[in-house]
This record gives sequence, structure tokens and C-alpha cells, in this order.
Amino acid sequence: MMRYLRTCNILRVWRRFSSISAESVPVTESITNDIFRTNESNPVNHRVEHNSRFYSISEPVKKQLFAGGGLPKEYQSLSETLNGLCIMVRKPAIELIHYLNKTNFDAPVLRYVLYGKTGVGKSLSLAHVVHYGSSAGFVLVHVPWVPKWFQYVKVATPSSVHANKYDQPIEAVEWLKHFSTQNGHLLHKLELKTSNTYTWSKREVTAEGSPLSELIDLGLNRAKYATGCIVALLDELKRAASSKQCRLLVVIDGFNSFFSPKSNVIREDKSMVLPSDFLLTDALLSLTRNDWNNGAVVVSVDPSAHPPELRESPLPRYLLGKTGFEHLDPFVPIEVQNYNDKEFRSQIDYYIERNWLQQPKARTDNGQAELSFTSGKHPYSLMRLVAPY
Amino acid sequence: MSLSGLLRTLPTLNAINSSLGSLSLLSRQPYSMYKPFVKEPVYNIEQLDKLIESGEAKKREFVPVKAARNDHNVSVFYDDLTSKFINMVMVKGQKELARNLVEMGYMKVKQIQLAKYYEATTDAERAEIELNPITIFHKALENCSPVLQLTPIKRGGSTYQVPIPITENRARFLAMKWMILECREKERKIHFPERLAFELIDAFNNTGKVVKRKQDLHKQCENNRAYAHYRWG
Repeated sequence: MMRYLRTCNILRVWRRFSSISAESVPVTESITNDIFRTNESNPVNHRVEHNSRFYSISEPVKKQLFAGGGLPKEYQSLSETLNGLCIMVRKPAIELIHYLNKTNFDAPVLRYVLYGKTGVGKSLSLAHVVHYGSSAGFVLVHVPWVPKWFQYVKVATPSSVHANKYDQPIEAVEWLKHFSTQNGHLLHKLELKTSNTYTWSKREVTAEGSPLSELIDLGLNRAKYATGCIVALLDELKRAASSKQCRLLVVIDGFNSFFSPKSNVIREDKSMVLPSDFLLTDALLSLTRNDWNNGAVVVSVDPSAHPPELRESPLPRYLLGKTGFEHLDPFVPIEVQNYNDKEFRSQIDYYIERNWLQQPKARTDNGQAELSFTSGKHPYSLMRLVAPY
Repeated sequence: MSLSGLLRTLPTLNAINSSLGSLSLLSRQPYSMYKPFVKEPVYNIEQLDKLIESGEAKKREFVPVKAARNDHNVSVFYDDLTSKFINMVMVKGQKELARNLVEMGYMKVKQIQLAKYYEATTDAERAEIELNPITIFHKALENCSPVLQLTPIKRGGSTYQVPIPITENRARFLAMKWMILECREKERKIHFPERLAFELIDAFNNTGKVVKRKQDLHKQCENNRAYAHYRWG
């Protein structure tokens, strides 16, 4: 370690001048401080110039935005190991930020669909967009990972609001907590009010004109009505956005799960409860329709959000199916691809600088060529390859 | 008869005596399926470059070479000791599982050491923390390798545990075996990779159960030094 630090300080030999068989030439490192990082930590200001650079998200912001989910688990634990959350600014996120900056908010909402193979960086692009939305003053409706609502449902009860639908009390309460953490201070500032009376039971009524925070609190305290509260809340937010009281950004990861043919909930007669039988599905499908304005809808479709038999293709038409595609059509498709050369180099430099990629030989040109080949510049594969060494 | 068949026939006594008469039987691997002149393959690119430079490669052009092993490769991450260790961890031929366990172990070693690194405040403290899991693994094995071993020798009706010298291979084998057995101990709430990480870091710092086992063996050898001459009868 000591030897390496001294070498790093004395021999700032650039990558281009290293030789292939490294026995005789000292190991070359690419410790160039500024190439793979950027100081711009406000995503509103991210532009094409920031591409392939890492920007850091401070702890309080991370807790506020992603405490309820949104970052892939392995990436989150890696960021904790590497002493700080940094996300790479990449083309899909830059494209989205550009579009969101230039949106005509009087027109009906535009739907953006991020697609690509599993492990290519869709969730992190969405996380970047969530951070942007929060910095730009949008009210965030962020569903971190939809399959969690259908594949791993803890309890599903028949709905108190709608006869043939099902509730997910525990997941609903969790999501309300996530929503209030993300948007707490903004809602307080905006002072949005309900436009209807909601009767939950004989004694529990949310009157017209009461603040939305009351609705959220009711849902947090009474799990039985949490799902109903979410439906009401999303309805109110849609109305508020259309009447220019707030600007809404809907971000949903794993959207194709709403159209999946499987869930883990089975009725007494052994028939499966489909995702379309849940009340939350209806609420979010209504929100992702383009019958409102003053907002945007950013959605991702992932093969891993479907059961294993339905992961043949990463393309939106296949994953959404006929109903899903017709629901979202017309949308703006944005492909998230593997790393290009610049992004790959930047990622390796980041791993080296954070002392994650330890093997001296892996830092040479030869090593990087090998990593590039064996990972195929696929972000997740690269992360797994680099992890043990 | 095929070339591989020719190379793999067990050498008869006549063949040994006629081909390399001066060398004794003991100096050759008696169970190897290859004839003595068949060379080990060289995988390492740097070594190959050296052979070409020094002219050795020309001499090897027409010498037959043993078949390639599945796990040997020219990857920058290839480490001989790690490969051996993975083979010893493997059970029922589940190589992929064994490799994943050891690699997870290395990742955990890095995580633990990086946590210490980022907590350290001064450069001096940071310089002392070793972060490379392969270096830690090598040092840990070194610290766990015994210098002597005990062998049972029967003299006058009783069996004595006699300290005898140990070969490098045997010492390395014992170190790895003890490490693996320690990681497989009962109460498996902590899984193999985490235990491996903790044991490796402990052994690197010359503490922990595996180093203790080596030291106990040394103590036993010391206690039985009176019987050392039994080795020769």
C-alpha cells in the first residue's frame, strides 16, 4: 500500500504511454483527478459536457430521496463501502433532463419510457431524474420498484373502497412514508387542499378543503385505508397539477410489472390475483394516462420485472404487452445502453480512485482491455467482475 | 495409438531405466499419467515473453505439452494460490459455487478494510491498512503455515508423535485446510464468505483461530522434541 502511494505521487505516467507486457515497466495508473468527476451536484445544471462524469449526492439528500428505495441494493451497499454516493451522468439522464427543462407544461403530459437489458443502468438514470425533479421543484410521485408490490406482497386484503379490487395495506403505508419524506417540505409550502370529501367509515371523514397532509397522515396511521388514501392522494395531485397549483413528476421503475400475468397472492379457491386486480394499479395507470398537464411521466421497463418465462426481450412492446403498450402509446422511448469507451474508462478510474479495484495488474492497459472484453462494457457485469479484486 | 495415449502410458520399469537411467524412481511423480519429457504449460504472458526473449521458446517448439487445465488462464486476476484454494473449498465438483464463495470472501475483506481506511484520519494510518485481498490472503497463508509437523512412529509397542520437517506443499496444504475447516465450523448463522473474510484478516494480523492452531502444533512439536531421533530408528 505504501509502495503504491509513493509510486502514485512520483510517477504520474499517463495511460497512453504504458506498454503491454508490464514486467519491466512500472505499473501505470490513471489517477487523473478531474476527468471522471464533476463538482456540479445540482442535476438541474447537468448538460452534455458532464457526460461520463460522476457527481456526488450528499447524505441528507440521499436519505430524503432514497430512504424508501430507488437505488439498486448492490449499488447502495457499494456506495456505502466507497464512502459516498456518486452517480455517473450518462446520456439517457441528460436527454431526459433536457426534455424536462424544455417541456411545454400546458400540453398534455409526455410519457418517457427507459428501456434496456437488465443491469444496464435504468434504475440509476431514474434516480438521477428523481434528484433532478426534487431540485427543480417538482412534486415527486416515485415508485421505486413495482414488482415489490406484486411479487412479494405481504398481505393483500379485499379493498374497502372498491368491491372487486385488492388492497396492499403494508406496501401502501410504506409508500406513503416514502412520499411524505420525499415531498414533505414542498407540500407544506404549496398548501394543497382536497377537492372532495372522503368518507372512510362512520367516524373517519376527510372533509373537502382539508390539507393533503391530513390525507397522508390518515393513511400512515390507518393501514386499512392506506391504499384508499393513495388513490385519493394521486387523484388530488393530478387535479392540482392540471389547475396549475403544483408541478408533478411521476417516476416509476419496473412499469411493465403492472401488466405481468403473475403475482404471489392466491385466493382461497387457488386462483391467482393478477396485478390488474389491485387498486394501486388502477391509481397509477390513471396517473400515467395523458389526460392531464403540467407534469411529466418517466417510466422504465425491465425484463427482470417480469416472471422468468417472460424475459425474452428488453423492448417495450414485448414487456408491456398489448394493453400496456396501448395505455402508454404515444411515448418517447429512450434506450439505455452499455458503457461506451469514455464511460467505461471513467468507471474504472472511479473504482481505482476509491481503492475498490485493487489488483495492480488490472490497472494497466492490458487489464482494462481484459475487463472491457469480459464484461462487454455491461455496467452490472463490470461491477461484479471488479468486486472481488 | 494416439499421441495422447503415447504420452500417457505409465512408464514401465524398463522404460525408466533405459530413458533416464541416472535419475531414481523417487525423483519422478510415479502416478502421473504423462511421460517424464512432457512439459508443463506456461500460461503467464510475461513468462512467455521471457521465454521468447531468452531463446528457450525455440527449444520448446517440438516438445509435447500437458493438456490445458480448465481453471488456468491468462487473466490479470489469475492467482495460483487462489485457484488452489478454490479447488480445496470445492465439494462435489461445484466449482462455480466454490469460486463465488471465495470471491465473495475477497469482496468482504475489501469492504472491511475500506471501512477502516475511510475512518482513518491521518495519511500514516491509511498507509498501514492493507486493502488488496490477494496480498492479505498470501500473508495470511504464510502466517498459518506450520514449520514442523508430527508423524506417528511405532517404537516398542507404543506410538509416539514425532516432529519431522515439513515440505512447502504440505505446509501450504495444512494452512488452507485449517482455514477452510475453521470457516465451516458449527453455528452457520454467519456464512462462509463472511467467516473467510474475518479469518483472513485475523490471520494477516497474526491472530485468530487458525494461527492459534499452527502455534499449538508448534508447541506440541516442541514438547515432543525428545522423540525427534525416532525418525531414524
